Amino acid sequence: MKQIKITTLLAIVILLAITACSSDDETTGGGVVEPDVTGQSSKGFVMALRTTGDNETDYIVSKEDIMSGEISAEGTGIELTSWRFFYPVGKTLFSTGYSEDNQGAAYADNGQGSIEKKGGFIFDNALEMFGATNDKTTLLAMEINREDPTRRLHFMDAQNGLVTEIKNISIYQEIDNQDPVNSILSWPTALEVRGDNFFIPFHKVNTNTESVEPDEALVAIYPFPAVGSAPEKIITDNRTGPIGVNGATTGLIETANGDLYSFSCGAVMAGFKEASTKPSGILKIKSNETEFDSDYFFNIEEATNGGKLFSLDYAGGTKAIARILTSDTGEIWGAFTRKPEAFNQKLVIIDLEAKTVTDVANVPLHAKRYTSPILVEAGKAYVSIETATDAHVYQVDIETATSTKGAKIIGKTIKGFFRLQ
Amino acid sequence: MIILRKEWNACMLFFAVLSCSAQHNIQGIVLDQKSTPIVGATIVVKGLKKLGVTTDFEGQFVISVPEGSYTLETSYIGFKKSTKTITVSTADPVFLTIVLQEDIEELNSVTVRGKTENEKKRSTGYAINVIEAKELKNIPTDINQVIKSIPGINLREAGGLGSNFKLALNGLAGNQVRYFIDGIPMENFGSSLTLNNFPVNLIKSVEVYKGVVPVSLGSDALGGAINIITEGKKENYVDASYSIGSFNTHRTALNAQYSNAHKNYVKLISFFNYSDNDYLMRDVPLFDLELGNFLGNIDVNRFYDQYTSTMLSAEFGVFDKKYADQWYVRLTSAYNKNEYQHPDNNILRVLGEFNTEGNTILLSTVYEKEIDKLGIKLSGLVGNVKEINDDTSTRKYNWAGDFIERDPSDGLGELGVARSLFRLTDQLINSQANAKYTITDAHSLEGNYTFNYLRRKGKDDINPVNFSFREPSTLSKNIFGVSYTLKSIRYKYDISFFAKQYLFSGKQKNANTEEVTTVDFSDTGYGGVLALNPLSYLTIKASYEKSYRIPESYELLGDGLFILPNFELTPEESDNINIGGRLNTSFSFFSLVYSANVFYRKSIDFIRLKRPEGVFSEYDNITNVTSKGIESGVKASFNNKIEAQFNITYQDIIDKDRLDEGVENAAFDSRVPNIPYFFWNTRMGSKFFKNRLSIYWNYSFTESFFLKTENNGNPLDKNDIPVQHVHGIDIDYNWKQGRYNLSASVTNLTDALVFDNFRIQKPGRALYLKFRYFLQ
Repeated sequence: MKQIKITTLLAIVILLAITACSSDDETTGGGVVEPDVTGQSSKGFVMALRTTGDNETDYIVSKEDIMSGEISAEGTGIELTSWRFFYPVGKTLFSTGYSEDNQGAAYADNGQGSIEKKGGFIFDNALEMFGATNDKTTLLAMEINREDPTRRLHFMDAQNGLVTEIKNISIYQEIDNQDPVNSILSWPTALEVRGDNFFIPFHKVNTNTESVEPDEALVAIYPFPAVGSAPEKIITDNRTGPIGVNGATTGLIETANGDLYSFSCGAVMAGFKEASTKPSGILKIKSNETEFDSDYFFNIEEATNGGKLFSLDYAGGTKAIARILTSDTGEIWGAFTRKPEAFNQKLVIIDLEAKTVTDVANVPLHAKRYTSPILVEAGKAYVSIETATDAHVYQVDIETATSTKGAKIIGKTIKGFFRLQ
Repeated sequence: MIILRKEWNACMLFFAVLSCSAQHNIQGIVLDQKSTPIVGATIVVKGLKKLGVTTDFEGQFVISVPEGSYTLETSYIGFKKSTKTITVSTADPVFLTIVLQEDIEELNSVTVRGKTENEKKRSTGYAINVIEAKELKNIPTDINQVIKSIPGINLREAGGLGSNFKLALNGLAGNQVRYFIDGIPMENFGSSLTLNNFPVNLIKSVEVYKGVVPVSLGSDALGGAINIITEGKKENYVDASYSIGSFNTHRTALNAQYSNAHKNYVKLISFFNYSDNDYLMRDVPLFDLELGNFLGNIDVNRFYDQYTSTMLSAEFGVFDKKYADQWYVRLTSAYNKNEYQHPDNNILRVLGEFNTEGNTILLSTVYEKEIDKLGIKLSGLVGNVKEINDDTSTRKYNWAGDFIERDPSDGLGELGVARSLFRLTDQLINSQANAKYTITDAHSLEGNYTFNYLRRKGKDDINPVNFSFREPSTLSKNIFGVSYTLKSIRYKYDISFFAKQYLFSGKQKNANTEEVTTVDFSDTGYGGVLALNPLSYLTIKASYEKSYRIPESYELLGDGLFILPNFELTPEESDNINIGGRLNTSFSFFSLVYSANVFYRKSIDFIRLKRPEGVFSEYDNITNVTSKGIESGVKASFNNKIEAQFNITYQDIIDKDRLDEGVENAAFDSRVPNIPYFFWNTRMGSKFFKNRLSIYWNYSFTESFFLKTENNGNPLDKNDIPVQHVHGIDIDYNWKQGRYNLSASVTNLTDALVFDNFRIQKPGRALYLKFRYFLQ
């Protein structure tokens, strides 16, 4: 049994609850299992709304017109038990808890225009990385223990919202038994299935979950669906830094023709202990290949005058929609806060093949990004833009890189836009 | 000087004066045998209805009567009545000197008939509730269960006997309320000495100060203080009890004192509590152990929730000596072990082996002496508190009681992300000095100094990378308080002002980086209380305090790991206001006590653990809350046989954050969720067979409240804690003048589903029997 480093927040919170009787204000379900749902409409956009206030509970709300008025949970919405992760698999939306809230379930249309809850499960450690099979029948979700190198890969059936299998796999580890604090673990930044290959880009993290050795991109590759306990191979590329960012599920995206593109950030404010010396940029793994395309590298830092990618989502054709950190404040995890300097992101459209970056017009500098992939339909992407004082829905026209400001969000943000019908 | 008043009121006297013509004054003075004036003695003119006065500070009085012959009856608690017949005529004014003789017999029972110490506290300006344990000593319950019926108090418990609890006083809760035992702060005394461990018959009374706390209780109490008083009288007695009840619950208590003619005494207080707490949980979710899928709800008895606690406290001292009114040394040793069926706020994580143990040793001494007009109280305490968290299990349990062994590669604990046997050792030092100086009967000054020091060190026997408190952290608090009190018997008021200075310093070394961090700050609190007694049976009160709670060490310094230190953290602050009144009246066979209090708490900078985004979190001053409400209690007794009381609380605890991290807060001005806002309780019963048998029924009501923000979410699917009705019965029989007592209690009589916050179930119907032996 190898134990590496640290009591995580979870343990600490519980420890404090016991030793100090102080943290029972922590938002959890308590004695509540998420109730079945009665009568929340599944029509239009289904959204994960993050509220304000001490409680900061997430609500699943739905609205057909999100381009005007307000989006709020007042008198509407499915009340979840806590702060949540959201990930869609086809027309099914999975929502799972964080910290002490160790439960999750799936939500889908009941055939009569309402959302119904399906299944329900618990887990030991928060599920923090998500992906889906290409046939959109199965959610892939991973427990990432910050103290133990084993990564628990869950397979969940979108039909019934239940776990069908859990595999203990390893991605990467360098365990220092003499001084466990010096051990290095892996932090996955996407779970991407393409054909019979399963790609997991990852960071090397120290036992404080800070990304270290920031000058190399890494992807572990496994067979699929028979995922082995260890990767078949790990491919590396030293033209850019580690792929992805903590909490983003789109470290690798697949285009319509089967090419995979990765994004590398390397900013201290995105969780790197030291900034990468390599530029932020995009790598490619060609369709049917399992190596980085040595002929392809898009240097984003060069193209954006020093900006670093903070997210990348596929937007159809050769296009992607991305968030760029226009500066690196140098404070570790700074991009995950709402401190004034965190409002430095711009929204851009990237042509992956033409290697161009176009700023989306009329979108203010903003902060944050959540786990769910960005919803793109009919050439329009829907994003929540969090500024220092408010949040609004923006509809982005991918082709023209223009935007329309939509409904005001009554809350901190919308963590994801989904369609269940 | 003790002032006991059984006066007629001034207004009526005024009336009497007006309604009569040709009034003549009877003037006089009332003295004791040593020729000391007696303040507050009652002089009644026999035959003249409603004519009577009380003596003033000089022991003097004036009565106006028409010409004639009268009989004056003069009385004072502890003295024999004196009767004097005089004739009043126009010719010469009457000046009387009345000397009262001490009544030894009556002195012995003075507390029964006079205004008791507690009654005097109740008629000060503090919003105080004093519960005397006397009437409750036979009930098989603990202090928490007694104080939770006080209006304005809401007690949230996580389960059965020994479970963690959080007491809220007018909306301020947890460590915002400070606890004392005989005036000594109980901070960091460990989990075996919390109030839920103490059977009621170990104590004399409990004082609950709401929002405004006198300087003698030296602590940073943001929302009030609770002071437990143990028996102070130096008598010989034995009070022993044993109770047995549902869920294999056993409680024993021993409270005994012996004092000799040399004014030495020894006192023992001890308890032992045990329970399986295996009460039925209804409709708990069952998940399969391998995959974690939901299988359905089941009804099941809790299977891992044993609680054991024990304490032995021995006190040796002297009293009524030349050099000390009282001086004692007290040694306290306590232990508890608590099994956790689940974390306090989550039933989805079922535990089968996680437990905690606590060990507390305290040595304290208290010295009290009154020298002329100066009263001094000095106290000192050293302590060692050990807590062990045992998270060493390799198993994973579910509600069916089934378990699987974890994969050997899986280092998870039941609760933590790594198995752990964590030991936390606290060393405590507390000292207190208090001086009261009575300048004149009207003016008095009080000064109080409290020093509180904590050194906390942690060690993990199993997890080598648990650095929590591996390097010790220390914090010290110095609290100075002064108060000035002005009393006027004549004008019937009692007013006092106080100021408190808080000085704090904390220090922690980061085990990883070896970095030493220190933090200091100081704040000044202040306040005042006012009591008016326009009628002898009516007190009108108002009180205010600007109060603080200094951050705890873990809030300020983090843990060196996932909770970052936050040196920007400032103390929690609150403006606390109470306005209320108390009516205490009795007719020949009927007595009524009615009290009402309107409270307002404007609290800012509540310290909360900020939700992590990314990896780290920190404690921050993030919440502003206003509580306002009304609480009221009434207690009536008929012939001292039939009794009824009723306590009711309505409170609005409102989120006052306009902005949440810069964004307009949608919950602004709405009720803070997950806290009951309307609740009441009643207790009524009667005594039979010369008070040998008593039967009481009690009932409590809690209005439904929401788990999450009230206005959010589809009302059909919202999580709430439903309306709760809880009934109970207490039957008590005693014989041989109360020497033997046998009682039975049924709690949750209707076996209703009862919850606390977070919707976690509490025990259903339970029966407890208690036998108590009391010899004085």
